[in-house]
Amino acid sequence: MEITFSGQIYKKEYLTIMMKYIYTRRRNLYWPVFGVFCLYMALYYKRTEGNEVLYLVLLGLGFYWVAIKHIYTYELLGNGFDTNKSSQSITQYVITEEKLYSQNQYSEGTVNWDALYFAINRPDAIILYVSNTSSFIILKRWLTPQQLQEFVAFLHTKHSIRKSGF
Amino acid sequence: MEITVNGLITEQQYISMMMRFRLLKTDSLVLLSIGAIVFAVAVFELFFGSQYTMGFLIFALYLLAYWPLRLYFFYRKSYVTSKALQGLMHYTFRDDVIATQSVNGTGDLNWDALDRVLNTRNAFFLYQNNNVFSPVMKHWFTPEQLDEFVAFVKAKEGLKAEGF
Repeated sequence: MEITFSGQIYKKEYLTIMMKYIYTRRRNLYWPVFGVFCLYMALYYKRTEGNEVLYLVLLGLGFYWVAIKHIYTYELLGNGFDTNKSSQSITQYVITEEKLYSQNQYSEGTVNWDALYFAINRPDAIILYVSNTSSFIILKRWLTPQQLQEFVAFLHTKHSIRKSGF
Repeated sequence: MEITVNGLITEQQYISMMMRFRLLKTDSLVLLSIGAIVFAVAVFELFFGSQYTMGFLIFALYLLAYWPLRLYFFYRKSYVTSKALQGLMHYTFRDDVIATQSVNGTGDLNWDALDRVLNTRNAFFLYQNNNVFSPVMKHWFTPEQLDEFVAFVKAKEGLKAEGF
């Protein structure tokens, strides 16, 4: 098997994919829920003229979990993309039975399939995690339907990789 | 120039290095300082039997404990999930590229692709973007290699060298 394709990811696409993915993870859905709970409790303390410090603490935590956390995550991802020259350039990928080869104007490298620990199938992309901080984002539009089918079938055979959405 | 180094990082080494590095950044220091001030206020309020003590205490514990604990678990997961970090890593620094080899595979990275190189007490961090970097431990270098590497990074045009 050998699947060759190339493509470039744009900032808007990257942010959309990553933010959507972040909000489909169950634990991240607790952020706004926890935030709204904190705001509700803050309001309760205010109405009942309870402890003023506790009111301010809950208000701060509520705003953090409802708004600041999301803005921070968005900014962090955007900044990560802006400062990564390699991910902004056109990259060629070659998928073989043994490894994933990638090349662009700044770097080239091979990654053994055994090195991957997590693969996620999203509507627009397949995200291959090498560690919890480093990943390959393969946009589905870069592949032909046959290539995509072959690639997904191949990933199914890799039992050492944890999978989600396949 | 050609400098070849290789070595291992243990989980404990990695976590302690990263925790120290991250906790000494400005945002962490501000957060922990606020936590310490709030804790001091809580103790002061406790002394006077104030009704606000519990609120201050909860907030102080949140600031002082949550952030370090979160960082600890984050870096532990980073290490555990990265097979490259757990295995022997080889780096060859040349004038034009950095060649890497690990259990994950191989790679050639142009110096132009680096966002910056940070010099810390125990390691050099090669940043590929603001969030992703490769740690290269200083004890993997011989003293001569270390001098040569530092001189090279300082002289490299277009490369941001911090802490050199």
